Amino acid sequence: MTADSTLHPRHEFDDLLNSPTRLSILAALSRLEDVEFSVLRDSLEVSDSVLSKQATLLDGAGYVRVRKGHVGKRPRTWLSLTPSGRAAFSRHVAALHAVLGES
Amino acid sequence: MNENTSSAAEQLRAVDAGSSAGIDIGRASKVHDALYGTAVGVLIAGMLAVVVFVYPTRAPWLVGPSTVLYGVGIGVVGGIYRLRRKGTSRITAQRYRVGFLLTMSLYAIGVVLSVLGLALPLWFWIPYIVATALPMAIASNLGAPRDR
Repeated sequence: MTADSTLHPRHEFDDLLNSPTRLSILAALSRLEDVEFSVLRDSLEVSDSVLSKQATLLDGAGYVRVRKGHVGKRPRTWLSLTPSGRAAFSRHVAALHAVLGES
Repeated sequence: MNENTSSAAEQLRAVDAGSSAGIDIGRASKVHDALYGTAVGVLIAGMLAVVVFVYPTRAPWLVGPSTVLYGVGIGVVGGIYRLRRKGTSRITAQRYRVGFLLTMSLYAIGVVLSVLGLALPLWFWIPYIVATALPMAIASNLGAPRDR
């Protein structure tokens, strides 16, 4: 048995993902190829500023890709999950299940 | 229940809520994705029909206009899709890529068979051209997954 295998599952938690809002964003994105900002905002029932702030944080960590563009003259922002975001999300969710499995 | 498990349970509820939201977004674009995929499949099959029946000896003057028409068709369909698209389910996108690969493979084989000048009969070409559009049409009409 290695030293790592004796660690409590909480050590696998990703500090950035210890937030229900950020987890919801990643969970939704994990099901989608990409999604338009306003659709995700409405679907998660959060405000523009909340989603914008959290998306910026996740983008900075390399977990989410934020792509800005125009459709006609209207600006649009698209969000998608990066491979490292998907991996971090999977690790964090596995750790959550492990913690609950221990109780 | 200690602090860890209480927080973990709350976070897992957030994961479930987000996951359900993602699935619902994918389902909402089902009709749109299906129309786009079918239109692209039909356009590719239509281009194969032009290649088989009018290229290049029967109507060489059609080479330019039909290629332009094909490009415009793809551009218009893609433009409308981008204008109206809100989000695409990951599984639908994966199916789309497989369908596109199969349709383009059938298109390429069809072009090669046509260029080889094997004089294949109409009863071969009509079903073959229809079959060329099918992978795209089927893949994009399967829709978003139902699992939660």
